[in-house]
Amino acid sequence: MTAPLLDVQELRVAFASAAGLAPVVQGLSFRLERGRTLAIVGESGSGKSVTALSIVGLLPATAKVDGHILLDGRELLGLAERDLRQLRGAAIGLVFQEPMTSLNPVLTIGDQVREAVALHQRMTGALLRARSMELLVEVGIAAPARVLGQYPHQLSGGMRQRVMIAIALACDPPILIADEPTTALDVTVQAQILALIRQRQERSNCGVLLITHDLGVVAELADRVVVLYAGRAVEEADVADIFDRPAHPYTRGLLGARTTIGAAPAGTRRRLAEIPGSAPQAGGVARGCAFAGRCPNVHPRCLEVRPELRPNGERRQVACHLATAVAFA
Amino acid sequence: MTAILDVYGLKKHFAARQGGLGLAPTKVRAVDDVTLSIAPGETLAIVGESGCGKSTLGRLILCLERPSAGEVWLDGWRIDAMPSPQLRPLRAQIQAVFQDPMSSLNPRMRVRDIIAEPLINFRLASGRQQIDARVGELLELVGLPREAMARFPREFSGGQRQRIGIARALAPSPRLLVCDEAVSALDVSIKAQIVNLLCDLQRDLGLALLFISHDIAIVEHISDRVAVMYLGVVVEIADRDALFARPAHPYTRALLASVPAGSPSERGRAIRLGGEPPNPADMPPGCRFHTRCPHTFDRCRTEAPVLRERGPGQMAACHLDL
Repeated sequence: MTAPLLDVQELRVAFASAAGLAPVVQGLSFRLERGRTLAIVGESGSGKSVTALSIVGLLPATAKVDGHILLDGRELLGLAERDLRQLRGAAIGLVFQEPMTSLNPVLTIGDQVREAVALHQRMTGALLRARSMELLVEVGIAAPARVLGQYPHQLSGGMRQRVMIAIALACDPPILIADEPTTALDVTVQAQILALIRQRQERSNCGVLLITHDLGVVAELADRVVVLYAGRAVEEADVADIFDRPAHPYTRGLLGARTTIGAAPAGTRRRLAEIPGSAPQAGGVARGCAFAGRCPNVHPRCLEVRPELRPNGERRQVACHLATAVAFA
Repeated sequence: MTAILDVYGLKKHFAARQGGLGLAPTKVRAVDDVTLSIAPGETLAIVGESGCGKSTLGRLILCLERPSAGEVWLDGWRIDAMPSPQLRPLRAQIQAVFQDPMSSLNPRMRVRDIIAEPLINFRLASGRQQIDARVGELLELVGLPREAMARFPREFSGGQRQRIGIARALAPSPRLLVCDEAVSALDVSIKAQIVNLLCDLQRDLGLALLFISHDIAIVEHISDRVAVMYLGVVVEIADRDALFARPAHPYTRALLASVPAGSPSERGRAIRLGGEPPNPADMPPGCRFHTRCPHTFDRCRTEAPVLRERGPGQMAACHLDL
């Protein structure tokens, strides 16, 4: 059996703070295969973005990272900055929420696209320019020659995100990490960017690690889903199972709390299902289940013993003492 | 029923570039001839993408900006040009909740003083005991314990802070609450709590809501009527059920079709609208939507369509009967 494209095992990330180490990610494991999209879903503070940054070694020095991050079987944790630089772009492309903060405001789009290409591929002059144009065309930019001469502030948010995707995919990396790629965009533009990511993935067969809080984006793109709560996976399953048969009460809560078009019949108003309270601070729950304080099915045992992530059915894992009982209730 | 709020021909133009050096001055028509009204106890949602003028419209209604033209009437009083001494007592009637509670709550004030401020300003309570009692009442109304009074905003989560912002807005017993992206910054699980709270408050207090949002799914959930804005104009205004069942304007249709799938089985069903909204300083002639509309024909490029009736309780600004 060949090694998975990306294999994250028992990832732990903690940040040094005045009060000692604050754990943010607490033993997270997942695998990403070529051509597939794995979504990591969670709310603010769940540790989802920290997970993404730890894979590419972009966490600040105050972060303590443990576990294994294997790319094609090769350990990434502990790599020297030089090797990590080589990896970013060539092996892993990155797209973040706000392209305005990831693009350099004083360089033209052309400078930045060319830099991304030339960093990992020997190319100069007319060939480099032609490749840059081609990359912009591939992300649906109609006037690539003009855009190459423009600065980031001259582009709309959607165009900037297209440029980011072009840069991320410049070297045809096997992995694309997209952290909230459409959160800052208007809904009509979001639909365009989601379609673009899907189309680029079909072309290059890359694995996409999608980090998002938005279940709508998950429904559009993901094959497999990890639901993160307070730094731990509470459920992992195929996307259809997550939406049709959510097993963890938090997953069910998220699905019930969301608003979708056409959910209430004309003339009526559906009350949204609430998850009471708010998520605990990082490392705030010392024992028991981190979700126990907000869970409608809480059981005395939940306050004492933290449920481990255990197989539940063929292709699902759930961390809940009552998972089976609740799933069939 | 007489409206609590009437807006007639409201315009707000900003100078984007002063003239001179051979350059013509340019104007951004952020809000360009908007007319609408809200009945007591009704929720009117304003929905649109960034730059459509929805927040400017809210600020004009709150008298935080002076309109370039047009009128704002609150409960029979014309407030847009009213000098501030006369406007002051009327301001109690119309209060606002904004997107980011952390930037609208003074971090150095205790929750009690934050909520007491409007009570004191509008002379609605005096004396420590009376003020404390009313602040406690307001906190309970928004689902926070009375004890929250003694604490500072930073001690609360995002959702709780938004509750504090709502309590402050409710302090002067307004009849109209303007919510500008009031739940947009909140996590899904918290968003549901605040949306439900707003619905409950409206029912219990008979509040009218002007709910400004980019999120059409929330808008469908919360509104009685909906106005869809595009580049400064209302392109469609209709009762909620009519708008969602039979959207009459191509832009409304595009907005509805762009919403991500509710479940993976509906994946990729979204009909994608090409392009992005044009620069508001460089508005296309004719219909402002014609550069992105799938149904554009010659007339759209030269003549701006006006709102016309398309069904009971439904108006749309489009030359076609789609």
